[in-house]
Amino acid sequence: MENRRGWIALGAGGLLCALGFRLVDPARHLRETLDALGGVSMGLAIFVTFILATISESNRRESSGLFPTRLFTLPVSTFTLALAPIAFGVLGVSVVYVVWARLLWPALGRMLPLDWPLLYLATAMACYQATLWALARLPKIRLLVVGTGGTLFAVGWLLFRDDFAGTTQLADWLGLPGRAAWCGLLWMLLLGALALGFMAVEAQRRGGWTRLGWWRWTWPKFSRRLFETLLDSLAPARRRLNSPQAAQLWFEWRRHGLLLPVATFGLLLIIMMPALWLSPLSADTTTLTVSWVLLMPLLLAFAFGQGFGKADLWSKQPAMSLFFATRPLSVEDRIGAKMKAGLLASVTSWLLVIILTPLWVCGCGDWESLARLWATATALYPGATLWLLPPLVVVCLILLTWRLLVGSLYVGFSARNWLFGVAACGVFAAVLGAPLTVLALNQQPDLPRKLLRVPSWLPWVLALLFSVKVGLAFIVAIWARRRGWLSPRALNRYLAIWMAVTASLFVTAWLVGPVQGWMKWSLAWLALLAMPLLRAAYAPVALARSRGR
Amino acid sequence: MLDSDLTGGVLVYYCINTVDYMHLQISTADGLPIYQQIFNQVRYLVAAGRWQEGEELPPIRVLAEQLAVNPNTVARAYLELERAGVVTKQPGSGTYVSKAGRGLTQREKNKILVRRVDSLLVEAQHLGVELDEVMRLVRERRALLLEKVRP
Amino acid sequence: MNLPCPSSAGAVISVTALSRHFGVQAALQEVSLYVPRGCVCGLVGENGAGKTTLIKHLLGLLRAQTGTVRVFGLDPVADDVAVLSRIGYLSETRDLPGWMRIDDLLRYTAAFYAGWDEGFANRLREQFALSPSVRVRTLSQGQLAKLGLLVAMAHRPELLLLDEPSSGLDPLVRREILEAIIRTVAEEGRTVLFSSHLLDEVERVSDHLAMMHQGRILFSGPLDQVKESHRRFIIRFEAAQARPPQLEGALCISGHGREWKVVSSGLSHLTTAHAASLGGVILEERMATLDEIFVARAKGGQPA
Repeated sequence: MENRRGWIALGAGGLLCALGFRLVDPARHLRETLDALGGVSMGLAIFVTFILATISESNRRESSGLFPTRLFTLPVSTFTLALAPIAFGVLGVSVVYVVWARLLWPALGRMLPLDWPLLYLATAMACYQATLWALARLPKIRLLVVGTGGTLFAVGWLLFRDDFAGTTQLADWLGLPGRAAWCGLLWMLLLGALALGFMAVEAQRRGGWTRLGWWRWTWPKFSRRLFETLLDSLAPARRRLNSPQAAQLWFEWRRHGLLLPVATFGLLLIIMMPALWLSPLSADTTTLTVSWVLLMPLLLAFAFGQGFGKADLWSKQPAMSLFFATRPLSVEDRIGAKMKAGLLASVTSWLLVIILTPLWVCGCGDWESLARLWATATALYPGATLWLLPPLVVVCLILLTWRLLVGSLYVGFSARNWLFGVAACGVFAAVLGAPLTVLALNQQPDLPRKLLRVPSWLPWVLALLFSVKVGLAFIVAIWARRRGWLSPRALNRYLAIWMAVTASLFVTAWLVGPVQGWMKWSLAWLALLAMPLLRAAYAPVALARSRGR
Repeated sequence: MLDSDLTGGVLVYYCINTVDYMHLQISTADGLPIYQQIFNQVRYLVAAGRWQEGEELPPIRVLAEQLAVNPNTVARAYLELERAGVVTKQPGSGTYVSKAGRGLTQREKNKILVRRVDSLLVEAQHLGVELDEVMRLVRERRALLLEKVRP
Repeated sequence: MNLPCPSSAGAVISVTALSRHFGVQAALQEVSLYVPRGCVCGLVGENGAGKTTLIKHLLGLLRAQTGTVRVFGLDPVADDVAVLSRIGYLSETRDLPGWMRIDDLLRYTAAFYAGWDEGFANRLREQFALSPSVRVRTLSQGQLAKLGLLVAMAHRPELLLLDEPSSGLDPLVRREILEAIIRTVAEEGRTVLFSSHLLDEVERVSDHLAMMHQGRILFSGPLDQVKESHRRFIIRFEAAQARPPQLEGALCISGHGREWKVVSSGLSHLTTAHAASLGGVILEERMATLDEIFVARAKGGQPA
């Protein structure tokens, strides 16, 4: 209705697909490819339709997500108000489906049925909108419910397929007579969603769910207050913060830095507590858990790192709020405070892990498999290296965690949405790519061996990358220096840090790395590339440019 | 409506001036600059004998805060008052109603009244009311007000 | 009628020919403004006139596209720390960090300023009835404005920039805030620039005035001069006029039939003479209110 541009885009997408599919010759391609093509395009179109059909208050400032209040002023009964958007959404999604099923899929050589899918989509749409309105006041829970429900619906249609063997089994198991029963269930769901939607809109028109009122008000407030009190007690502002740098460090630590240790500790508890009841654990489980625990700060830092560079992680605006932007603090001090807070966070998190893990393994684990690992290491490395390695590895882990936190500072400080978008795409690719790679490896057992055979040119490429990076960083740093965004002191300091960190990474990589030549060189170059140099040099430029646009 | 408005205004004026004569009122609704409003009102208070000779005027800062106006504006009003001989400034202690302030009474009173009479006459001409009728109204209202104030 | 002296030697703020475009939209066009030391300058204009954009330039949050901006004689973008540490700023959105407690906020802010006056801050806090352990998020609009003002004033800045300090507040809080500003002004050497769309407030508090309209400064100068140079007449003509009579020196003419309201600037004797020659009788003449001046100027459109 309102989102005209979106609908036009959807229509254009449909047309494009239609044209594209006409060009495809079904006979010449694999059945799977065609199915994937049609399925993905239709899935996307339906997804977009769901988003376009969302009717709720889109007040950015409040982000309430309530039913649009202005509609309540219309002289229309609540029944119509609630039914019209649902009907509209159902109509939209039906049209999209029919277009795909009758116009697009035939070009790919498939005919889709119309009866149950339409009912299925209608039910999904009704449930979606009813949930949106019913849980409007609890945005986080709503997100959870919509996400879970959406996933269920996205997978659930498999139950209806003719070739899905599980259908009959499951129906038998549930004592249901096949697809008809599922359709009956859908009808019930649809009616229930309509009723819920009506009730929710009615409740909002009359000023809210009265029964749920106390819960709505107390629970989020209580949990938030508890969390904030915890953070406050962990990072109290001292009686007097005696320099701007100290104040900014306190701010960064309290607001961003503390999250990593707190999250690490929380996850450690979640992972380790159940073992107290299940103890003693088997050797394999212990190893698995310990490896996850050791990986956790890195994973968390990767996740937090995406938002760590933002002026305020929790605010919706990418730009720094006017209050913070008008504190007299130089660009390099702002960045310095973030870097220090990040280092503090990664050190604290790793200390927690290093202290808690052995205790836990002693308490309820099994040393055996870990001891075996140690024995392997003893065989691999000579004596001196062996004793040097663990502290070096720990230092490297801390530094890598730090790097993951501060690596994207320039994205956050630039306060530009498109950069966030690009960075987010990278993360998406990484998150989606990892399981896909695992799947691919599962299907082709000889692939890992192929991959592990490092091509001889790899070190040269890495070396080239390294020199390009150093050169660009040099240029950017000189630029920042000329404009007065970087003082020589800060520049030298960061260079010293970078060299120290890179040296330690390099040494560790050299010592740990397998003995084969190319591999070793690649690892060494990777260690040289790991620490952000160009990005760190660009961070003050990004911040200064976003401050004085 | 006009009629009730006017009487209301006059009655309030009486009340303000009998109960709390320290109360100066600033209005930005008529175009008069604020310093001039203060000037006029103090001069009026002195001319009407509400502020006696030798009485101390509130300090600039206090009055500025009380009226929520810029202290410079109050200072300017005091300066003009001093120039007009209504008040005298004694260095180091404050501003006081001067001796000459009382002497101006009759002329000042006339000056203030003339402005009001002017606006009354303009209004009367607007409405097309004859002068005799205006005079009759003035007398009638006076009788009424005196009656109200007396008990 | 650009009264301010372009001799910007003693000016705390001097903006010369500043223009700013956001995309194709012009937010500021050829804006020049000089604010001398110790002066309270009211920046008035309707919403979207460019007041906030101008103030952001003064804070160094926006870079001048054309023209120059100097605060204390420094470039606020290049010397951001030096300029910001001498400025107290209250933003229109009052976006104080909601998660902080008031005492944390004060401690955090205090660390940035050498001249932070702890006693003054505490006195203000008590006067504004702000309890130190309360989180900023839970404050009402009025309390937020007071806290913002406290944070902006407690380091006794040389220049106080207040962006709509009293918009959206009830009269009681507005009064309290005005009083606090007046108290600051009473101290020597404090310069204040505050934007507002409440002309009443501006007339009370400021001694300089700059009026903005659609990204331009219509006029600026000492308030008294501005007021004295604008007059308002009500003129009655013999015969009903079908269209507004064209009068010399008139900024804006409104009315219908026989009676017309005229706001004129500077050349009011010309206006009256012209009106008399057209057969008009002046029924009423007085100084124009700021409201009338602003409407007349904005409708007239052209800067003086």
